[in-house]
Amino acid sequence: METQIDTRHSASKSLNKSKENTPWRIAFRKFKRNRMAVLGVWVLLIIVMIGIFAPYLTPHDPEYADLLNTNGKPDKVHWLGTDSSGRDIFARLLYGSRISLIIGFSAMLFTIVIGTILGSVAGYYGGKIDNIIMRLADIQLNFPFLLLVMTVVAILKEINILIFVSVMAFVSWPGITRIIRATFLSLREQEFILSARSIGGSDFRIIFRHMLPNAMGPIIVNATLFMAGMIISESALSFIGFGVPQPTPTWGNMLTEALSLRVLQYEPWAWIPPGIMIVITVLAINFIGDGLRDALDPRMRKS
Amino acid sequence: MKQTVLVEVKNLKKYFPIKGGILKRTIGHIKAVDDVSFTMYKGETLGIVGESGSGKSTMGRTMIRLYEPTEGEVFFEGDNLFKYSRKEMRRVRKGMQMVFQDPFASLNPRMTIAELIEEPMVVHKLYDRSERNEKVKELLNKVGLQAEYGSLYPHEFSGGQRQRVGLARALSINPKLIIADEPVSALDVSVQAQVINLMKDLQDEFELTYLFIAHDLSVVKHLSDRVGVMYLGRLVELANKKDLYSGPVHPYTQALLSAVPVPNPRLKKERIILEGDIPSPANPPSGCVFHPRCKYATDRCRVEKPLWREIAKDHYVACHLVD
Repeated sequence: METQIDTRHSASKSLNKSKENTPWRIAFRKFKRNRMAVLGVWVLLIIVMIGIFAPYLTPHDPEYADLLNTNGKPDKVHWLGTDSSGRDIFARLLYGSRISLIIGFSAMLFTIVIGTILGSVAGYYGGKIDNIIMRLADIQLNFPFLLLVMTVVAILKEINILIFVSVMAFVSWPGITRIIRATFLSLREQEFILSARSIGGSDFRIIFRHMLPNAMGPIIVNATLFMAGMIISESALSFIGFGVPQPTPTWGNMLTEALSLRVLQYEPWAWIPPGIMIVITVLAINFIGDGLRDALDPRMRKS
Repeated sequence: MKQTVLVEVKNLKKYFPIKGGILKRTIGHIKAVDDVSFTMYKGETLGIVGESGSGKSTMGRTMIRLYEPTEGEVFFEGDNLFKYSRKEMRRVRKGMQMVFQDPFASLNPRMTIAELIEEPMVVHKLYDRSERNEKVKELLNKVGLQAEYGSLYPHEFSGGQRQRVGLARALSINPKLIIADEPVSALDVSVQAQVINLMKDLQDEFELTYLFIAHDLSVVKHLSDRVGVMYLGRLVELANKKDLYSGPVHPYTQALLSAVPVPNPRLKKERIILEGDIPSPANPPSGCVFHPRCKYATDRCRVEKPLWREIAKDHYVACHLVD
C-alpha cells in the first residue's frame, strides 16, 4: 500500500524498548536526573527509617518523665539532655518523626481524597454543581486556617491523632479542590476528551480513564507540597498547645520547651534539634515536590 | 451514487450564550451555526470549507450532539438524533464517529495505541477480549501501521501516524458516517496526501460516508463529491464538486476559489481580494451576512436575508444576485 511510507521512522525506533516508554517511566527517568529531588528522597527515607526503628536507636521511653532529672544537660545517658518534665529529648526526637510524618501524610491523603472528589466533580460537570462546591470553598477560605483549627480543637476538648487529622483535612480541602478543578476544567476542553465523548464513553469512563490519569501529575505534586505544609501546621499547632497533646512526642510540642526564656537562652539542645528536624523534613519533601513537578510536566517532555 | 439519504440536516442552529454582568446573565449569542440545512447521501464525501470561525467545526460537532443544538433537526437514517436522551445518544453514536484536527491533542497521552483503538469497542461492548485484540491488529494494518505499534504511546508517533491511529479508532466500531474535522490541516503537505489517500481507500473498503471539514479548497477538491461553503455560520453555496469549482455562483465562493494557488507560473489569475475581516458572529451583519465584504452588494443585500435555494439541479446557493 502506498500509504505506508511515513510509518517507519519515529515509532520503529522506540518499538524495541517499548516497555521503558510509558509516560510514568519517562517521568521517573527525569526525576532521577534531578539531584536535589533524589537527595530529598534519601533524606526522607532516612527520617522514615528513624521513625520506624526508633525503639532500637534509643533505650529510653520518650514518654517516661523522670521528675528527679528535669532540664538535664546532654550527657552519656541522655544524649540531648532532658526536658522540663525529665523526658529524654533524643528519644522524643526520634519518636517525634513518627507523629510528624504520620500526621503530615494522613492529613495530606485525607485532603487529597476530598479535594479530588469535589474538584473533579466541580470541574467536569460545571454549572450549578460547580457553583455550589466552589462557593463553599470560598466561604471556607475566608477563615484563617490556624484560627479555625484552634477553634475546632478547643471545642472538641479531647484530641487524638485521628480527630486532629480530620480537622486539618476538613479545614484545608478548598485549596486542593481548586487546583484539581482547574486541572479538570482545562482537560475538559482537550480534544481527546471530546474524542472519548464522541465514541460514546460514559461520564464515569471519561473521568476515570481519561481525565484522572492526566490530572495525576498536578495531584501528586500538590499532594507532596501539601504534606510539607501539613507538617509545618502540625508543628505550629502543637507549639501553641492546640495540636497533639503531651506526653506524645511531636517535633512541634517539643518546641514548646522554648516558650520558657531560660530554656531558649541557656538550653539550646532542647529546642534546636526538633527545629532542625522540621526544617530538614520539610525541605526534603519540597525538593521532592519540585522534582516531581518538573518530571511530570508534559510541556517539558524530552523523553 | 446518490440514492439513499444517510443524513439530513434541517435548519440546524447552535448559539453560544455570552454571559456578562454581575449576575452572569446572557447578554447575547455567538451564532456559530445559523440555520444550516443540507443532505448527505450514503457513500459520498461532502466537503465543507470556510474560514476559521465560520462555524464548520461547530456544525460537525453539533450534528452528532457533542454540543447540544439550539434549534433544528438532524436525521440519521431517518432517526431524529435530537429526540434521544443524553444516555441513549451514547449508544446511537456507534453509527457516527469523528476524526479530529489536532493529532497531538486528540489521543489520550496516557493510553497505548492498542488501548485507544480498542476503547470504542469496549464502550459499545463489542466482541470479547481476544477478538478485540485481533481487531486492533487488523485495524492497525488497515491504516498502514505495524501491529506491534499497539504497545506504544501516542507521543512516540509522528503527526501523520497519529492521525492514522485516530482513523483506526473511529473505524473500530464500523460507523457509517465519519465526520472528519480538518483531519489533515495540522500535517505536512506530503503527509496530507498520504492520509487523504488512506481515507479514500478506507471509504471504498468500509462504505463510509464522510463529512470532510477543511479550510483548504484544494484538499477538499481531491476528496469530495460535493462541496459546501460556509461563511459566518451559514452555508452560502453547496454544489457538486465540478459545478462549484468551474462555475461558482456566490461571490464568496468566487473569492475563495480565486485564492487557490495554481501550480502554473504562466497562468495569470485575477485574484479577488476580500476587504476587511470576517465579522463577529456575536453581531452578524443584517441581511446577507456577506454584504459588507461583497463588491456586488446592493441595498437589498443589506436588509433582506437571502434564501437558501436550489438554482440548478443539486446546486444550492444563498444570494440575491442569482435572481
